Amino acid sequence: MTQNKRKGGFTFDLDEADDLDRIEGDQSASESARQSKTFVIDEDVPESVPESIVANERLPEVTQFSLFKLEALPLKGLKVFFYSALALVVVLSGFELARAFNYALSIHWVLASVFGVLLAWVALLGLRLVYRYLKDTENLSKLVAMQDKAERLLEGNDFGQAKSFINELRGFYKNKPQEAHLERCIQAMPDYSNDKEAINHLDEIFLKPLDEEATRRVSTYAMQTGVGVAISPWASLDMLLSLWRSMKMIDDVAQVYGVRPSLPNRLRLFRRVINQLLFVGATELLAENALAEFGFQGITTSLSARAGQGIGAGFYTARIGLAAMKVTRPIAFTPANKPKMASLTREMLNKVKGIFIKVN
Amino acid sequence: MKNKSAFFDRYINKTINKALDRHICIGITGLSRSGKTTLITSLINQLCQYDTAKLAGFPPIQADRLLGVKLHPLDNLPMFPYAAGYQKITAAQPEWPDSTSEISGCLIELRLKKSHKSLVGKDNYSLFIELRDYPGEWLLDLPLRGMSFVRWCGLCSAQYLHSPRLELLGSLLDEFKQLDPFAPVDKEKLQALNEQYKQFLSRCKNDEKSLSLIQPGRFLIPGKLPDADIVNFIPLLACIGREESELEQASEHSYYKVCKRRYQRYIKELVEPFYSDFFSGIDRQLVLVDVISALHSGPAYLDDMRQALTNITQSFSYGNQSRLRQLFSPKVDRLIFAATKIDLVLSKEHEAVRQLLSAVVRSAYKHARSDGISPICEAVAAVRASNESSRIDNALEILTPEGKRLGYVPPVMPSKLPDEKDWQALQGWVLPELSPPRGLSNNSNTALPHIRLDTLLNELIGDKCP
Repeated sequence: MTQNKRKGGFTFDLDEADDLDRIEGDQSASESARQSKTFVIDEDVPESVPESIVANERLPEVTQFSLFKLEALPLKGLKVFFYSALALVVVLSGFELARAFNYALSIHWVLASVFGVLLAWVALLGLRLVYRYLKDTENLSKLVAMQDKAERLLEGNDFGQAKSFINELRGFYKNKPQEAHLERCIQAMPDYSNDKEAINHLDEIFLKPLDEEATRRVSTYAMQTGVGVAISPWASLDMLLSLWRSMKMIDDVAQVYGVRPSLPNRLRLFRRVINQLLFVGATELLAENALAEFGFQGITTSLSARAGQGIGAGFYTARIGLAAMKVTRPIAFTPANKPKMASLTREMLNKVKGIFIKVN
Repeated sequence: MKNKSAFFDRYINKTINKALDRHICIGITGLSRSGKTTLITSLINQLCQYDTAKLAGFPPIQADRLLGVKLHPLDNLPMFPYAAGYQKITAAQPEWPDSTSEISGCLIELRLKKSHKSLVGKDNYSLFIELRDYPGEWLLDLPLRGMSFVRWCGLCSAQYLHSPRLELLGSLLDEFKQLDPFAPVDKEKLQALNEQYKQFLSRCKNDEKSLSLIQPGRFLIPGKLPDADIVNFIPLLACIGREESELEQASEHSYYKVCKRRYQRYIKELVEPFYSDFFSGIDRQLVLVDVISALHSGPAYLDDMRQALTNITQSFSYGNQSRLRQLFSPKVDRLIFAATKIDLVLSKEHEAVRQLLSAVVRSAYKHARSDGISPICEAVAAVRASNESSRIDNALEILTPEGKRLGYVPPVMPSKLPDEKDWQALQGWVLPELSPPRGLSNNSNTALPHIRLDTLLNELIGDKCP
């Protein structure tokens, strides 16, 4: 710990022996912060070429254990195996189809042509699906690009880039119920604002009401799940119930922020929500400690275990809802305007408590 | 004709090697004075002298799988002056390589033995590594791509209102502000203002403390220019607060129109080709950051550097993608930030500097992470030029460029962005200049002493040496 108190950043003369003493004396005297300096060094100190410091070393031949890390050895050939197996299946099915076609032909050519037409039709439909899936980048990818851009604009004190951001926002909300609201918000924007102020204005005027609506929806779903799990007697049913409600909720929240509920969007959205939950939100979970906020233990001890399960499920649903909000909001939440878990779960808690207090 | 077919051959070879994952293009990006040239020189040196170099962290060397190294010229670029740089570092009176004023490049061929015998194909193969060197000043032109002239003026005016640029600009600021963008252009006046502007930019860089975000870079180091007019424009600060449509009404010979035309030519004829030749094809990016100098200069300079880095990383696209797509539209799939000149810090505090670096580059970081790759931070020294003193605690033995041996006590390095208190602790810090160590022999057999270049090498190309 003493090294933190060193005073440093100086050079010194090693020529004079008494100077050396002074320097050493200095160090013990002002351990508080090493004063940097330079000094001349003794001629009898032999000059040597420095040695290389390599990975995991602090000095040559001095190991630094904190830097140890090993690279994972991948299981070789897994990918090749997978692709080869896939190729085998494709070849086999192609072969099977050709054989079926030949067999049909051997019976009658009409049968074969019916088979052929059917085959072509299915292939066409498949291709069309793939094409549509790939083409449908309409919403979510645009949204992600906008989120990135907003983040960048908020960081600097730039001028004039907000216009293109607003145009993107306009394009995104075109022909959606949010459009009129957005236009009103843009009209009300003061013309002197720089990029940061423009984004803040959008955040405050355009997104705040949307946040409120999304919060309301999440809160309702959390309540439904919480109550449902609390009163349902079968554990497996609980799981299905909360899964179903969560999917529905993600859809609903996304619509508030203008993400159309198409299949590709849903899949991507779902992936992003899971990512948000697992990796991004994990650190926040510790800090939040929402359960402690409510004196969770107090509740569970006073109510039955089933009520506890219900409350747990409700909390988790609310967390998923919050993740969905984060993922679909065009401008990222700031710590100040981030919805609190308390506001998302209050209704649910009261409901569940109400049920069990009545029962008891 | 012969030239063309040779070029075509090379192109085909490169594409085949790329498809086989045997050719990677490393973009070494670094602001000026961050030590690009020295780092490239040292990297080439470590690889060429692989039998004497200490590269414990680079597995192919440990496993004795590196069989040979060759240097080739790269495309039509002048060869990177490796020999000259190496000679200078190892001379009796050692000096650092000259700072770069023109572009150059080289192609390193590593002859490697496969770590596992494969069922098909040969057991030895070549890995090609493209390296390019260029004046770091030009790097900051990249953010200008896609920036309109008016916006650039707006950015300039925002910068010039704050210290230290405000003082460096002096009376020139008022002259800029008073220049009417609608007035017809006075060639001599514009020339004079441009001269003064260039002097201001060079003050920004060459004052005792050096700023990072200096645009446009060609004003400092022009390189080869098609004609002088292309760098003869200035930011028109009086444009701020006017609508672009209003400015467009200006006559063809007004300051606004002339400067705008030249600005656009600058982007189109200098910046765009530089980007597409040098950076559009890179697979891996190494960003060198001279954290220690910026820390020494103070808060405004550190912040300026952070801004510059964020701007630069925005010019690149990052992400993982399939090998096929990587072939045709490459994305940077690995991003490494390295704090250079770490030999100015006590070895026990290298880790603190590494953490500081990750705090400094966080905004650049965030952008890259959103694309699915997580950047790596390292603290390295291309050439280790200091020894830790065995007689005095917390002191380094160094050699000044004048050839004088000195002791140096570095201050305690903060491991996060410094706050008020940390900055105070750094007051009165004298940062000495180092010269390369004496006593390295010149017979081109010695590997230069380094700090953690092996880790850097492993992170850059380790996974491509199966």
